[in-house]
Amino acid sequence: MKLSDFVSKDAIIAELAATSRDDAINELVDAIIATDVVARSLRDQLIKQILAREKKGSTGFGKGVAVPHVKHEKIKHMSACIGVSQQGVDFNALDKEPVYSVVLLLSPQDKPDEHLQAMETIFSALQKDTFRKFLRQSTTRDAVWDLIEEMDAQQIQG
Amino acid sequence: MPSKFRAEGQKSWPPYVSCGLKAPGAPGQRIGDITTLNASMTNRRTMPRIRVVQTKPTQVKINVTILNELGLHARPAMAFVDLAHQFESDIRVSKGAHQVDGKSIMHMITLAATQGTELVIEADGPDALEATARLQSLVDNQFEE
Repeated sequence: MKLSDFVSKDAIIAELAATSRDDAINELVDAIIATDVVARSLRDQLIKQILAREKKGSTGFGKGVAVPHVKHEKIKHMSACIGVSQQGVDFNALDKEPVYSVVLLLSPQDKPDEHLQAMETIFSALQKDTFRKFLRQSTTRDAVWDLIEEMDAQQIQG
Repeated sequence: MPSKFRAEGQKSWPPYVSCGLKAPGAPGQRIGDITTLNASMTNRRTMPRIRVVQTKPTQVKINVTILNELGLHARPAMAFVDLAHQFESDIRVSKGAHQVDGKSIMHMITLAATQGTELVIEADGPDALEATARLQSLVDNQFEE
């Protein structure tokens, strides 16, 4: 599976305004709803579920990245949006450090295997120091998308 | 205790046994890298506990199968990593040729271990036996989901 299979280009936010976890999640959910990938009527419910998941254990797994996620029966196709923060978001990360890259993943309820494969794809990229560095340096939607395409083409080392 | 637990290359339940039980093998017998002392002494008065003495860092390898319907998603992967961190031993987990650090959540998620996936857990260190036993128990109990 490739990042471009499920990352919604139009929902990429190269300069997140939010500096708190809850605001960042609101901003990202709004961005993906604006692309019509997900029904507007699900907005509040999705945000509530994502935050409930974060309260059980932060998806800010360290190294300045967070991958909040939710499964919902009314989501038919997996989709993700990416938010890049220049000032850092307080995401209650495991290492207590600010988060600079947030990948929000929305998955259908009944396809757990696809969800795992998408998570694998996301973390294979986020594990790479160069990917994280370039992502953080991206200040436009196109720059983030170029990076995603390079990652998919396996042009990103280490 | 998980009955499927085996030290590498060993056919019967190894020496991590409770008070008063007879462990397999003769006293002092080498089982992998582990030496059991007084394993056959079952008299509580003279030997209330059977001790496992590890003469050098131990390597233990076990196979597990992910039973959870949702697979090894973020929350159970986190539970695995949290437990792995309680041990001094290095923990490596592999799916086929893909091997990752069992103490790294980001690595563990890249296993994409769906329901039915077989994983190999390898522990290397002084507490390798207990680490693998506890991790196996966690996986077998479906991460208490």
